[in-house]
Amino acid sequence: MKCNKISNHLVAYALDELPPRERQRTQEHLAACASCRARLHAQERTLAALSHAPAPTPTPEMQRDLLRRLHQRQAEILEARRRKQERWETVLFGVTAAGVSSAVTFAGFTHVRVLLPLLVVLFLLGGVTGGLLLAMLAGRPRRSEGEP
Amino acid sequence: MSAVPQQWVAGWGASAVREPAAARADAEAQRDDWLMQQLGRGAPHALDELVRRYHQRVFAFAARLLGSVEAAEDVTQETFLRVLERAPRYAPKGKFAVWLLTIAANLCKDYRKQQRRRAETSLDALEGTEADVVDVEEEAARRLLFRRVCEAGAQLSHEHWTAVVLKHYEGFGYDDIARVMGCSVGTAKSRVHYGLKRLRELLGAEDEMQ
Repeated sequence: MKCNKISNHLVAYALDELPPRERQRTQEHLAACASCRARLHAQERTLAALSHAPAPTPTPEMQRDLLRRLHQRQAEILEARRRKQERWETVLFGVTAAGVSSAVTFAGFTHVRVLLPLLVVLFLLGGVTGGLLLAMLAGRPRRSEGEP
Repeated sequence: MSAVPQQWVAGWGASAVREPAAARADAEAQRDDWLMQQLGRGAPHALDELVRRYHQRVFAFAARLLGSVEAAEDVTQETFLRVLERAPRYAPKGKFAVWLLTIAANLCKDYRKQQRRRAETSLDALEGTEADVVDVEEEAARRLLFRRVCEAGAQLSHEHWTAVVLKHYEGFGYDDIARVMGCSVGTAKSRVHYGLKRLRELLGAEDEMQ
């Protein structure tokens, strides 16, 4: 193997990622080539420098600030959700009430014997649908997607 | 408060005896997903626990990428705000840490772009952070090393430096690095290798100068 090819393999060699055969050939070259050995040592020193360089730790105040801000935002999100739910409940109640009152009014002007069964069915359907929709909304907060 | 799911409790059972590390990782991943579900339902305790579990990690990740404590604090805060907002739609498709650091990496990228526009850096702020000060000289040397590494990292492209940080400090495999960076596994590997090679040249050149 030549030096320029070994140079491309040095990182993988230092990270122990080379397949056994390539590793063996690289080792043979390194045993015979001082400049590639020097490059490998420089690479190992770089990895050691990365390992020894610490990352700063957040202070307790930073964590307190973060939690305060997050709880504030969470309260805003929950409040917005509650308002949205209330709006939907109001709309559904209005629609159901309007439907029922229209049906009753319509029935009042028509022959009761013909429309009474239809009115009862419509009333029941409207009640069940409205009830289901309200129950769905009341069941919040929703479960997240992909829940096992 | 909802009860802890049975499968999570069971995670500490028999499988933990067979393969402790893998079982622990599974249990941790299940715990993360459960916490995200709870957060999606508006549970404040889930928020507290997620911050306890990941604050240090996200902060360190951002500090390494950006070389600035103030920037890391801003990015960390923004990352957790996004987690909070996206929690109701969170679908556990992979590791939570990968998803979390993807958000942080993207925010760091944006921050770096803005920073380049403003041409400001604040590595000096590192002096004010908390650390386990055992020996003043040793601590000073460690901070100096951190500064050198960050300065060298800043000379790489964001993609190369992020790939190196994910590989070296987060211990991510190339598949997870590819997920965070939205590239192929081969590209992730080549970014790590090129980044480390370039760092060798940069840090080696500094050694020669000193």
